Amino acid sequence: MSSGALRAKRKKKYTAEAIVKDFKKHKVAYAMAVPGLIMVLLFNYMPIFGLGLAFVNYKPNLGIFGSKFVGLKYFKEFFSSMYFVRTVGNTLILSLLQIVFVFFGTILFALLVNELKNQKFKRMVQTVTYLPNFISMVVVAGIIVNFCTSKGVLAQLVSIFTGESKNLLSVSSYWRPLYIASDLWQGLGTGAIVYLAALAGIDQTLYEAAVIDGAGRWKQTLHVTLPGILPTIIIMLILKIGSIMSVGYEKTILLYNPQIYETADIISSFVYRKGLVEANYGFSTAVSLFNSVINTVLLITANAISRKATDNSLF
Amino acid sequence: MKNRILRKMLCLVLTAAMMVSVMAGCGQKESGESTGKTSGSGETAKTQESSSGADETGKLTFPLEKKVTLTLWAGSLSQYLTNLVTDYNDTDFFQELERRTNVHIEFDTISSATTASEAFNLMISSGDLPDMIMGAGLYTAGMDAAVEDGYYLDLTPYLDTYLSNFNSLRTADEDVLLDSITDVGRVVRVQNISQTQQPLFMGLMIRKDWLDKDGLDIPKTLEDWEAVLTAFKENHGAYAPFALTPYYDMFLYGFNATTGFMVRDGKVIYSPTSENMKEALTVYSDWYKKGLIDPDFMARETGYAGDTSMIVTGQSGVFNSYYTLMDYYYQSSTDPDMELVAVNPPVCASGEESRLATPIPKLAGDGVAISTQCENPDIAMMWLDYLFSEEGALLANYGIEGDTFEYVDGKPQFTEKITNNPDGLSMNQAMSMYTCPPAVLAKSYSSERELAGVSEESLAMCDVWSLVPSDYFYPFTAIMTSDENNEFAAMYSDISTYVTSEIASFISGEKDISTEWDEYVSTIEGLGIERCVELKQNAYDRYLSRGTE
Repeated sequence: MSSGALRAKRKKKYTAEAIVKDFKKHKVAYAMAVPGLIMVLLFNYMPIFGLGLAFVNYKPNLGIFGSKFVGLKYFKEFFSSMYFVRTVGNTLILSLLQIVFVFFGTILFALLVNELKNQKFKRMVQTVTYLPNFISMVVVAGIIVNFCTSKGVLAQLVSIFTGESKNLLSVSSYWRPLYIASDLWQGLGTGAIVYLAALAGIDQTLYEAAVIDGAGRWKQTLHVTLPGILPTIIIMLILKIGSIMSVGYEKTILLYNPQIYETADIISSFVYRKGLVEANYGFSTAVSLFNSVINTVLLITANAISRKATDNSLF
Repeated sequence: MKNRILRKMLCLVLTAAMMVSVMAGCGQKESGESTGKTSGSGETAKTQESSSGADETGKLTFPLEKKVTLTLWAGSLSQYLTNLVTDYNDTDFFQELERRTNVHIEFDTISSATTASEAFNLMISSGDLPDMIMGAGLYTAGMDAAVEDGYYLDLTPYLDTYLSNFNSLRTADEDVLLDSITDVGRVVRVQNISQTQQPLFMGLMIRKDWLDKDGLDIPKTLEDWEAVLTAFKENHGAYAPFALTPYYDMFLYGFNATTGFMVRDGKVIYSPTSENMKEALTVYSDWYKKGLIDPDFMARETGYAGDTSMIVTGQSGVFNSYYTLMDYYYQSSTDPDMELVAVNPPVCASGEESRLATPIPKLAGDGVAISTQCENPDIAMMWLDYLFSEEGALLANYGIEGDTFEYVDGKPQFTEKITNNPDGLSMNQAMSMYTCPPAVLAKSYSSERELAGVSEESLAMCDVWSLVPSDYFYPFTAIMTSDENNEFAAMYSDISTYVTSEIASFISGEKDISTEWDEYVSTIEGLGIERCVELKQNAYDRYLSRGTE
């Protein structure tokens, strides 16, 4: 079936009648979606009006329209700031590292777990790797900070190799490994769930057929397992690319200190400092807006490429 | 028909969306309106004042006939009360104050997880202001800007009427008078006024018992300091002999350097690029290399005072602190022989005398402002003013006669209820329960009341710290206009971020002072420091000429 025909068929599915019919049939299900919709409206659509802040010298009691209009002043300020290259660069590097190590690491982990034949052991591994996800970020950051002081466990471990015990969070070159490693520790189990679910959905008869064709474990993985979860991987990857410019600020501001701003300071922590600490609302909105625009462009591009190349896409 | 349902649904969704956005608009409009209203009522109050102001205030006397409720943004709960109560209204002092004034205060206190400045910015940006705002100084653009931006009420017209007690104390002292007014001549907030000059209450402490054991004197020159710190490390197992904290100023003052601006011979200087700073950083980075400075200093999240657990376990021998904390250290120390004395920071090799220290002005604190959304500014002002009256000040400082204090030789003295509380409260806790907690509200403050619970030894510390003059200190109250401030902030926030990060890197040796200093200086110059200094100089000049007009 050509993709054109496929699309035509899809189109037909969403006619007005079909929607109404479906709505009548699944009233309760739709009702259950309402809280979610309200949340999206409140927290994802409402704030769009707030983007106006980026173009005015915002004073909360004057409102967006009452505040003095400054045009693109804050954008110019950001682009010419000495921190522009640094924060954008740090964000991108951290994001790419996350994709390479955390994103693909998670897939690898899911594949390995899937190969485990002892069900008890498999379940235990899953639980153990899943647990750190429930620890609050503040607590995790506290643990990391403690482990990294010059007398902490991690610092002592590193000192065996380097010969000097210093605070790990004081060395800019250690920042990214620490960040990614703790990401992996905390997110591996949770991230793998979606792939394990996809793996469970693969038709078992395909494996039987492959075995009959003489495929070993490796060939099975390559020709049955991977193609089976490819759509999931692609969707997840598109989503990840769509947020490549927005590494969350929580972990960063909990862990960093001024000495390692050089590698640790990212767009979101910069926005946090500008907006909440210095009360420079306009500037921090401008930076955020710039961020979101790039993210949207990346998302749409990635989606388009994927639609062309693999026939999998978000929209 | 199906089409109609679909259209209806679409309508519904659209109206819902409209509703949401209209509601959002409403919120904004409402707050705008109420600001208009209150500033309007401010106007009427002003006109009334000019015609029959005296009568108007004459009618208002405490206790009020009818209870009035006011809201007050109070920042975080006083540190001494955190384990005792959750609301200021649960303390005896505020209950008594309510009895006397018949004004009920609803306190808005923030959780300890957020910093006061963050919570303050959130409160301001919510557009929903309380009647009174404690920590008024947190409005970083300055008091004039806070009035011009429409947040704080200008209190100047009411000084003689509703704020008469505050005003008479304010005008009685020339320094206080100068500090209390903004450049354009406004009085915007009510601040603590000390009845007597308070000594400098914070500085460096050193382990006297360690010094004695090694036969060393209190260090003065750089060589002394290095010898002492080395001895602490080698003979007493201190792993962080000098507990440097990210509050670098205290350690830099000895070198006549600071992380911000200072004044020398009437000229404003940006200290981080000065030679004095270079010398200070060279010394500290050398000490860091030798293991004399806390190896984790850059990642410590302490307040002004050094990390308590390190102090009481004998891991550091020199640290920042407040004189009131000494007795606490003695109680918690693992070493029963611990003895602390005050010491002034290391000084330049050239022996240049340090003239930089934090001054303790008589008018101090972030103060309390009245918001433009306050519907009873007259009552709010009178309520604030009460603690500046003799009766109110006595209540705020000492509590109730016969209960928490008694007159001895004509002077109020705390009873055992405060100094040796039967319920096991520490003196600071008892003081905060039965009198006005130290940094809360604004009052005519008697610093002498603190002395009751402090040993003479602790007090002697203040004498040592007060030895350093504060001539070079850039005055707290030299403030820029809001236009100047906008220009300044745009440049300076980048500079200060850069400087804090570089200072830490220079000390810890991540960057080499001998090779990278020039680049550091030229980067700061490239960020526009010259203009910043100019703006600061203007503000300073205006500050000097304030009283002369």
